[in-house]
Amino acid sequence: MSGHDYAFLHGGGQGGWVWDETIEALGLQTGGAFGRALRLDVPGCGTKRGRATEAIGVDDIAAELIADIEAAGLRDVVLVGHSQAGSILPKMAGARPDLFRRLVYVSCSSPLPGQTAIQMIGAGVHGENPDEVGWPVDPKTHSMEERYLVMFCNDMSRLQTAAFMAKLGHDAWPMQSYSHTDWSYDHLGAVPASFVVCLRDGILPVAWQETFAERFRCERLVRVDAGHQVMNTRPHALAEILRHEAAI
Amino acid sequence: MGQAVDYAFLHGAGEGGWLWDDLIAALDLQTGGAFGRALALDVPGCGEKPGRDVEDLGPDEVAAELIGDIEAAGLKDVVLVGHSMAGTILPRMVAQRPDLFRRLVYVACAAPAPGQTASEIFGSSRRGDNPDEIGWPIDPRTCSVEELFQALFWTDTTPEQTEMFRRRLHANRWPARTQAARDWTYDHLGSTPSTYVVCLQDMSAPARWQEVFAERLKCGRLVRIDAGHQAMVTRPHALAEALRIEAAL
Repeated sequence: MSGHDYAFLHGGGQGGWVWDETIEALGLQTGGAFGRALRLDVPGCGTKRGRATEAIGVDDIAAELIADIEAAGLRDVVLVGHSQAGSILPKMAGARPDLFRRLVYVSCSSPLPGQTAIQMIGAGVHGENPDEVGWPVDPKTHSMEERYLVMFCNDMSRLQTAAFMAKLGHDAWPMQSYSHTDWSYDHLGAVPASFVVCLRDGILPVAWQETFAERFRCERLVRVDAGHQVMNTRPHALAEILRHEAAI
Repeated sequence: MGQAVDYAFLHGAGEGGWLWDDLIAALDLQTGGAFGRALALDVPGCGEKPGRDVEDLGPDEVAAELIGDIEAAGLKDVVLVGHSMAGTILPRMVAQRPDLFRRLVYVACAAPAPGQTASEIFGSSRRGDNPDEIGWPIDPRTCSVEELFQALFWTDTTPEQTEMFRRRLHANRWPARTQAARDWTYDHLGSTPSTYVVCLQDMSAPARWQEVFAERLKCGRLVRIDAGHQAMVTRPHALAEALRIEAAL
């Protein structure tokens, strides 16, 4: 069950730091013998904060992250993405299918071809428009911080919430990530893929996660009783799932 | 989650205290050994209590003996974790000694209605034919005990794990009088905080029925794990993490 290399890709407004607890859990569960773990950073996030990212498109992000994985010397990689990383993993797998053993989408989303990420979410609340994911609370009357509390922290203790909220606000994806419309999924399926459904997700309802799992051609679904930040709130459950999926 | 808490574990039918080995190892890894003590209990006739004449022991006697085991081990403020058939014993243990327990955690536990035996909770229909009964996924009258356990309980275990359960099945028989008991009461529950761990892929009692049992057992909290009936063996780290969180509440 051990020995595999993992690369982790964070979601919007977050950085590679978001995987610290899960990587620590992987280490504890395997006595450190799980191979290597690489925390990737989208330009403008984590260790790549402060970069000028206006000219960086989605395909550039995927190319840079592949180069990061190659530079680290990882092989037969289990590539784990979270949330907005769902828009990048398909491009990475399309560019270098030989590099990846398995893709694991943790509560990931990605727009339909021709649609932007902003249009995918829409402007209403969950359930208001069947073609839009929607927001958990009305974005017109709730600040971004109020929305973050509901989206990310709904299953966190007060202490966890305060610690997590303090980490937000420093990481920004390139703006082109939100205007890009050239998505394709037809090439997927060659690299085995799993989707981790977060049952108490505050931003992506379970039915939408299952829609995205289908879009990503995931042949395996694993459910975990956690909110969107499962890697922070249930790191051991997620680490165990990753070990199982990696060993398949 | 960092405090030291004592745990006592009670297995189900066809099992012994050995059931919890992987789970206790996971607790140990996750906490660096700093989780307090873990006592894996054995129902008389099971685990390390084989060969006893136990046929006449009813659920009250079983509960009393297990409380004696916990006291002898010196555990206090105990998180008592039960699996499957242990759902028939935990309520009696907490009735006898409510002061001994910090929290009860029922992992895919059965809670027969008053008047039912534990096996009668399945009813007599095929699974899905009668919405008021759990139903049997295979006909218990025409299959072997091993086939029945395989269909109900060992659905997502590895071949090695399945073989381990199969090998130990007949050496871990619950007392016959406990299996035949019908006098269940749940009215006294609720004063000790309780959690039910729903195993989402459980083929013995579908998740919907586990939630019925959770209500009967007056569990204030539900935690779900994407595993079959033997989550402590197939997903030990997920369960250990859930126990640590529940214990710290």
